[in-house]
Amino acid sequence: MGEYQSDDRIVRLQQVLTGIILAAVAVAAAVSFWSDTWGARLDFFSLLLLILAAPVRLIALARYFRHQNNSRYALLSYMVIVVMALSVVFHFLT
Amino acid sequence: MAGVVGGFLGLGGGIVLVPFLTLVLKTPMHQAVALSLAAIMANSLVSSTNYLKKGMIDFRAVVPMCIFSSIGAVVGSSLIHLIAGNYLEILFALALTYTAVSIVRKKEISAGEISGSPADSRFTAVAVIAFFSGIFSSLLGVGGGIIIIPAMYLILNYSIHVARGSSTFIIGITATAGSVVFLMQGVLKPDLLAEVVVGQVAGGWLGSWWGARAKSRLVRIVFAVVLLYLAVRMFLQGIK
Repeated sequence: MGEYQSDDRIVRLQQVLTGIILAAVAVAAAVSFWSDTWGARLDFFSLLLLILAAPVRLIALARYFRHQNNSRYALLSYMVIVVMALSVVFHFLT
Repeated sequence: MAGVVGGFLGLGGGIVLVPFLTLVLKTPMHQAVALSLAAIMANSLVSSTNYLKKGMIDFRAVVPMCIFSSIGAVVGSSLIHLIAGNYLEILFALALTYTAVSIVRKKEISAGEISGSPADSRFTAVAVIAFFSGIFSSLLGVGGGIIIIPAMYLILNYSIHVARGSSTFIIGITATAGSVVFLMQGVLKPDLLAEVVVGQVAGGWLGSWWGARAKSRLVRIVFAVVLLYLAVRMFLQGIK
């Protein structure tokens, strides 16, 4: 195994993102015992963090490719974010 | 449980989670699919970290696949209310059965036989595979790994380990693209999010830790069994 090069920065970033999301989810679960309204709001906030994790990972991937002098794949990484953003725009237009 | 299966096989765990949500918790199908995609985002984050540490992700395959699978996911999540999927399910079940048999019968490629990135020379195949995996991901809430892994293994000639590792990254991005649309449509409700995310993160970590160390033959057989289970389930659902 180990057929492709790993990247420590992406690994660390993903570990940090996981920690943040787990903390947000834990706080939301704890708060929901006292207040359903605030629990629901924090659940929604956790969901937004989960969604935002994807573009953050893709930006890290683009930086990885740029570091490897591979500008084509760096650009393609940003294109994935553009596709996601366009889906939001398309939804509001229709 | 869904997290362990997903992490081990490089899937998202939706094949376990969606039936559980609909059959046990009586969650409406569309909401179960949307919640499953949210769970897959969490599973992907944890599982892909473990595979990344082991050098089992080819980013040059991941990026183009993410583009087309995201487009597919947006198309799929927009079509979900329009399609009564009986015929689709039966066809999909047949394709899964064929894939399961092919995976068991194919010989494993050793790491030394791979030069560069097999995805580089097969851009059209990558685009088509990823697009349809994105559509199925959003229609069925299954992540898309059930298409991506066999395709990377059988068509693009990746080893089963790299196919699984790369899939864990791709499905997270695909699930996000689908989730964004579901969120805007009001289908994705974060009511059970905490329970699902904690379970997926714990299960995804355990499954991917185990999967990164498992023997290739074991992985192929387990993967084929899961595909056959899914095929039977989809076929029965399709002929109802």
